[in-house]
Amino acid sequence: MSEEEHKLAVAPVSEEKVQNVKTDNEETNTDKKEELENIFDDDEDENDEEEEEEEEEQEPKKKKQRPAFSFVDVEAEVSGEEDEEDEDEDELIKEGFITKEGEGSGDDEEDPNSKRSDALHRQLDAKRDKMQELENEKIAAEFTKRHKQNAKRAAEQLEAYNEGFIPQRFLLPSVDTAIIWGVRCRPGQEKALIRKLFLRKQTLDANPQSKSLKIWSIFQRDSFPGRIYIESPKAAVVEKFLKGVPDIYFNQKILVPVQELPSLLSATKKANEVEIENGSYVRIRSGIYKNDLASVLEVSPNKLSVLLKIVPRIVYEYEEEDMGNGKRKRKTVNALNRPSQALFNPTLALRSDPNNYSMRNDIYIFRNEEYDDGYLIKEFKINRLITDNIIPTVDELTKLNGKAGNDLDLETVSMNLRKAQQANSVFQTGDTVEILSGEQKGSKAVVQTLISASIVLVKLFGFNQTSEYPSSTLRKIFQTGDHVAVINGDHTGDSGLVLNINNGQVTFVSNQTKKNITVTANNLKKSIDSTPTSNDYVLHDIVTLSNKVTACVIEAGHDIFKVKNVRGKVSTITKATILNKIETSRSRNTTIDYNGREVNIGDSVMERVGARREGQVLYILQNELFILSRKIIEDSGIFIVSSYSIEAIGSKEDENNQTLNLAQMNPEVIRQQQKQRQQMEDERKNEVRFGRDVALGKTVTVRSQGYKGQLGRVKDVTGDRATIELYSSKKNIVIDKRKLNYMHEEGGKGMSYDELVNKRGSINRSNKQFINSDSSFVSRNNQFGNRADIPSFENVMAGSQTPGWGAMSGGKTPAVGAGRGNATSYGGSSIWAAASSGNATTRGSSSTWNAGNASTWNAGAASTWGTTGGSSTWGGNNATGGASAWAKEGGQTSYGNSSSWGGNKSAWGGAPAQKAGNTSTWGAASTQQGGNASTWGTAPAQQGGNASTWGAAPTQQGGNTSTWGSSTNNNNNSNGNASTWGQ
Amino acid sequence: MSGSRRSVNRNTATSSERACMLCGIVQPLQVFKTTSCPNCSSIFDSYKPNEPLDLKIYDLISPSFEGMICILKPEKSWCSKWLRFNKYVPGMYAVKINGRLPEEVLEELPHFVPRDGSVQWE
Repeated sequence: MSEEEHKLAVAPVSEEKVQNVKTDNEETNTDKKEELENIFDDDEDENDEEEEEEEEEQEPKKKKQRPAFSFVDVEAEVSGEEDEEDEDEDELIKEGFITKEGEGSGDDEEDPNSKRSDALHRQLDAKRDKMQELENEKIAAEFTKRHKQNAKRAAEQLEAYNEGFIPQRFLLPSVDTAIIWGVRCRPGQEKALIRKLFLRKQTLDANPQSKSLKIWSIFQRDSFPGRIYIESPKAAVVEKFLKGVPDIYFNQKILVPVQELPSLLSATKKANEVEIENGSYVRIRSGIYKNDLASVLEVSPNKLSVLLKIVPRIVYEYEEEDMGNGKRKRKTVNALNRPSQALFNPTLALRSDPNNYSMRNDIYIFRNEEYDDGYLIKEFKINRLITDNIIPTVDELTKLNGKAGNDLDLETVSMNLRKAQQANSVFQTGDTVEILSGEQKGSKAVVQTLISASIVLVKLFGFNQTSEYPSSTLRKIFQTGDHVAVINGDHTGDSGLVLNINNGQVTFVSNQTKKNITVTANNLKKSIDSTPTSNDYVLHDIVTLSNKVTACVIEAGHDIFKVKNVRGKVSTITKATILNKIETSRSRNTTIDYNGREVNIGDSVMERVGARREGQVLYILQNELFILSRKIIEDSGIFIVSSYSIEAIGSKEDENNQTLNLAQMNPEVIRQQQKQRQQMEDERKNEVRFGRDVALGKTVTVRSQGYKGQLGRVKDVTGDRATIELYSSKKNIVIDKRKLNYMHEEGGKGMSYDELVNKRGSINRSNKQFINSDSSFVSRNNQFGNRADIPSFENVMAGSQTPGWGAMSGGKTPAVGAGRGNATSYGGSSIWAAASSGNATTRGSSSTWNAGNASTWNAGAASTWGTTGGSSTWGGNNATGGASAWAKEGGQTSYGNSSSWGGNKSAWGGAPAQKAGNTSTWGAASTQQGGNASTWGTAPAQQGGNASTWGAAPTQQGGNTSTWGSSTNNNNNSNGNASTWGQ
Repeated sequence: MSGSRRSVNRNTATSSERACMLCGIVQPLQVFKTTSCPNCSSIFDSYKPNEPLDLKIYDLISPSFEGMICILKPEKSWCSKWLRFNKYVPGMYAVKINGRLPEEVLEELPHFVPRDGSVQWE
């Protein structure tokens, strides 16, 4: 400061300027120091930048503002200022010297001062020079250092490329060296996730507190979507690292097997990847030519761009739109409002935009685009193109290859088509092929790899080396029984089993249509999947079409569906035409059939008239029903009928209706009907009767899940499986017969199958008695005839008695017991009740009777017995077993039938014996009857006589005797007759 | 929010990213233009020495690549050894890079194995 004061005193004229200079100088010096420090602190790169920037300054147009290197810019500016200041300073000093000298010459006193200031200046200059030198040295040192580094690095890099390469086989992974975890992630997010995880790792590592996680690498492959792979020695590390990262599901992580690692990280081509070459077809990914077909004219040496030939879409006259403020703007052309494809029209081009039009060597240049022969010739980057799976249409090929107006060159088109088909790589690794031409004609080979679109590497059978063949000379070989899928042509997506191969034409039976389809071998591929169909809609789906018509899918392909609409019209539609699928299981649509009964989805129905087609209701649309029949082949078993023309197949409803039907309540009518039905049933049942299952015809409840607790009737029994007709829904279900609860009477307790069988055994034994009781029965009938009790009897009969008989024979133990009881009971009307195990409610049991042969009894027994005597009665028995025989031939022959009684045989054996004696026994019976008729009807005294007879019967029976005793007792209670019996 | 952000990220990242055909490093085009490739700078420098970097790099980088692999520890990772990234700097790499290097570069590097899947490493 003192110096300056001096100056002020010495050089008052220039004091301000000098002061300025001084301060400036000091400032710049300090600035420079700082800058130098900054520079050396920073990276070497920035020195470069500095230099570059300085160069750029000389060419101002090149100068760019780069925010990333803002520091350099600042520095450069400062240095610029500095230069200016230096100049200023020099000038000032010069001025100063002049003035000083002038002044000095005038005034000596100030000399030391001026000398001093001069020295000061020199000192400053020296200091500056030194600084500059230092700076330069440092920069030079940096340069040499960097150069050395570069050289070293270059050497290293070269080494890395050229030398020290360990053969790949030595790098094969082992469980110790390579631990790679596969983690599921959200598909489509793999690359973004890799970036995200990279950043995450860097952020985590940047934190000095946390320990660096041992993660060596993270990667993804396009061929494995929805997965990323992490190389890390520990699973826990992976978990910790991935925790909280969205779109990654690290719970589903697997350790990638070591053997799979090389293929996971191989850079080899995908099987279906076809390399672009001259003449192949591509599509443009975006822009105004989006999805347009183009042919490749030339591929650049680096294979990253291609020269394409495209059918142009030129806007000659731009449409302009008013911007509102008087300005007009050209309407932009994009893929949506692009013009249609048309060849280049020079006349139009010249007229519309002559400034941008020129012609040279038959090549037009219009708006900087080249047009040759009417086609646009343009270079495209390969990532703007779609290269795989290009299937050109004939139309596109025609446009691209045949000039408009000219005749279509069919040969080129077919050639192009063939090429296109080849491009759509027909062959796959592992296909068995036959060579069609050349020296190896007729020999067979296996496809190894696809070398290009048209060349296939194959290995001939019997030879070790592989050879290349053009794919056009190969034909796929299939064998009868192969499962194939069509990959090209009209039947694309269809599949089936190969039936026949004839000269390259493969005939297969379609899985969908069940028809034979013949396709060229190369359009097929072997397929394991039996349903190469759409995932969205399957056979027999009910769908809504775009015109709001409901239809049923009768043939499901990949994209093509055959549907039958609600009007019955069959049409072939594309997937896009289907609006949506109707969930039939959620539908509550119902309708009523011809008989006014409710029909639901899933019910079995039958046509009332016509072909009487039968099937299951798939869907109900108001009055139209979609019905699926397994017996019909056409239209996949689907037919559509009006609800008025069908009737539901149901059992319970039938019965209810019958009981409600007044006309049928007339006993006479019933009898007639029953007779007829019996005869019919007899004829039918006689065939199967012999092996008849006890369960047949029983009322049951289901014990297993699904239909548990539901009531039904056994319609059919095959082995262990019983077909149950459910009362609740008109369905037939098939179920294990042991999983049923057999009800012998409504409301009563059920029994298991085994119990039922056991019971049946006892029935059989009682059959003998039964016979006896028959006789009594007969007599009783007579009685009834005479009696006023008839109505009750009739009721019984009508209700169920007849079947009851069947039941007896079949095995209705209770019934039998009843029968015996009945015998007694016949005396009185209440007998029946007794019959049914003595319960008053026996009526129920009477129903049981119905189930069986009972009807027979009615028909035969009632009348027969009444009239002809015992033998005829047996005719009634027909119903029960060998009954027919009985019926026909009378008592004796019927004994043969006795064998048919089944388990009873032994008893019967007794019986035949009886017969001989029977005659007597029976005779006794008959006599009884005879006597009975009167006896029963009339006098207990007879009964007494009868009693003895009967008594005899019981004795024969043995165990039954007791029964008798009891039953009679019971009967006694119940019936007026009972008293008689009691005696 | 995440959806829109994610899609923006993905688009910007992939459209501007390039892979070095020599070493496979993936970085934005702008970075290649300014600082060339961190692993192959010597080759980038020696290739067409008179041409500016931001023009000649197009012969050496590719916009078409597949299989993103993020190498965090080049010396320790088996993947980096297997794919020959072990002498390179940590960063994002591509497993398969489509495109072919200029002949003059390949001549300089007789043992270089291209990463476009055309040749299998032995």
